Amino acid sequence: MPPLRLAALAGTLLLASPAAGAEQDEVPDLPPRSLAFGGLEGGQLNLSIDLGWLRSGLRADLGVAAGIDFTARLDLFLLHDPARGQSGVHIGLRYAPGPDGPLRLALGAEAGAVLVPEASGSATNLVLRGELLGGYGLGSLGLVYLRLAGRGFRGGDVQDVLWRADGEAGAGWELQLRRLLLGVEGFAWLRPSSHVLPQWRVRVGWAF
Amino acid sequence: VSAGLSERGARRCAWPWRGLALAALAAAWASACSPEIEVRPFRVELTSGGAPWVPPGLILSGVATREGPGSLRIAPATAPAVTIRFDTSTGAAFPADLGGQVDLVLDYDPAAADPEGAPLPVRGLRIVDATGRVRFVLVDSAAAGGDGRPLVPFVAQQLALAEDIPLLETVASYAEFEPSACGDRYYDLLRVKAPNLAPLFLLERGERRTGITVEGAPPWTVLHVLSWHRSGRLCTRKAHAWLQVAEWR
Repeated sequence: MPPLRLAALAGTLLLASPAAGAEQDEVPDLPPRSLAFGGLEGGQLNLSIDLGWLRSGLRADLGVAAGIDFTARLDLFLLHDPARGQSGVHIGLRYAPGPDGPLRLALGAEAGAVLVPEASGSATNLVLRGELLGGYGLGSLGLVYLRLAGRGFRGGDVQDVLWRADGEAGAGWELQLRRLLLGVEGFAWLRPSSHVLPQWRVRVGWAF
Repeated sequence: VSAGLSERGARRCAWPWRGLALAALAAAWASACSPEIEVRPFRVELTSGGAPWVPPGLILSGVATREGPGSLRIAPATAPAVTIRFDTSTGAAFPADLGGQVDLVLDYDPAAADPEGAPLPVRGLRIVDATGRVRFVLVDSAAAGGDGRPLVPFVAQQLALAEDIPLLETVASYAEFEPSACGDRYYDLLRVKAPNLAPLFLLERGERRTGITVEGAPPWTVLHVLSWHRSGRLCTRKAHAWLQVAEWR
């Protein structure tokens, strides 16, 4: 197992200590926040870090109107091949209607560019992505959710533009400790012409 | 989502943290086992008198006799006969009517290997009939060009302007790849062009097209078995590209 992956896991284990998140006592209670569902009030901001395989990254969710967020994220293969792996930048919108009891729902759409380094130069590819989440609040135990995503990927070259589609299906769990937002998610990368690839990510965020 | 969780609540949540760490550990372990791309080369074998035969030059001329879909015997006028065999499980076969005087052109490198490191000295071959027409081409090559893409061996290239052989080049979809510690392997498509460089079509891996007529000549069948190239953190011990193609008429 590569050293970077070991370091990431060590960080995860540290986070797993009971002492983690025991600070922030002076902060008054906050309304519920979620990295996965967003649905922020206008001007509210969530900043987060995803650490995972294959992709890790940074993410910002900014509330622009009730239930509607502007999202921006950068990702790269941090634990796999940080210097020569793919990287991407995406922006989009997400809509999350107000919670209906413990039930949560969110819809998202984004566009982005994925950079694939090559032996000579690199290839930049347009990506369009849609996402649907459904979740259930567990009170002080957090929130569990299911996530489905579909992606269109424009590849090929100037002679032949190739659109490919793939998807993700996964489940996650989130917890809010005052302003600290934590989550873990496992998901399958669904590839129509190849085998399914398991993925995971650990999410750490801050509610502003 | 818990709002304003108390210290008591935080302590109550201690056990899920341990569960989270264990889940991450299990997932990381699973993700480290990214499968290799299965490669089944044509693995051309050359024998003479029951023993392996090393070609003394690029071309062997003789009278050909088709012994089966994947077996052809060529009897030169002044040397022992040579038998060419390859694995037909991918669907390639010598043309049923292949026979008579032929030239066998070989791309032979005794040091060449397949992506798993097994010897694969025949990177490609072509068979030209007595009229000078190319009838059959096989490519089994792990060679990469300067751009990192699979290198098309010379036997599958146009060696003369009048030669009516389809031209091959690979195109990356970029979306389809297999993660690897030795450079991610990106699946390529095969672009087939007419001898005048006009693009004819793209072939996915495992796809074939038949009835292709190149400038009025007899139709070709092109079978794209598999091609890929690596991108990222490359290792010297692993092949950087793979191209496996057959074409015949």
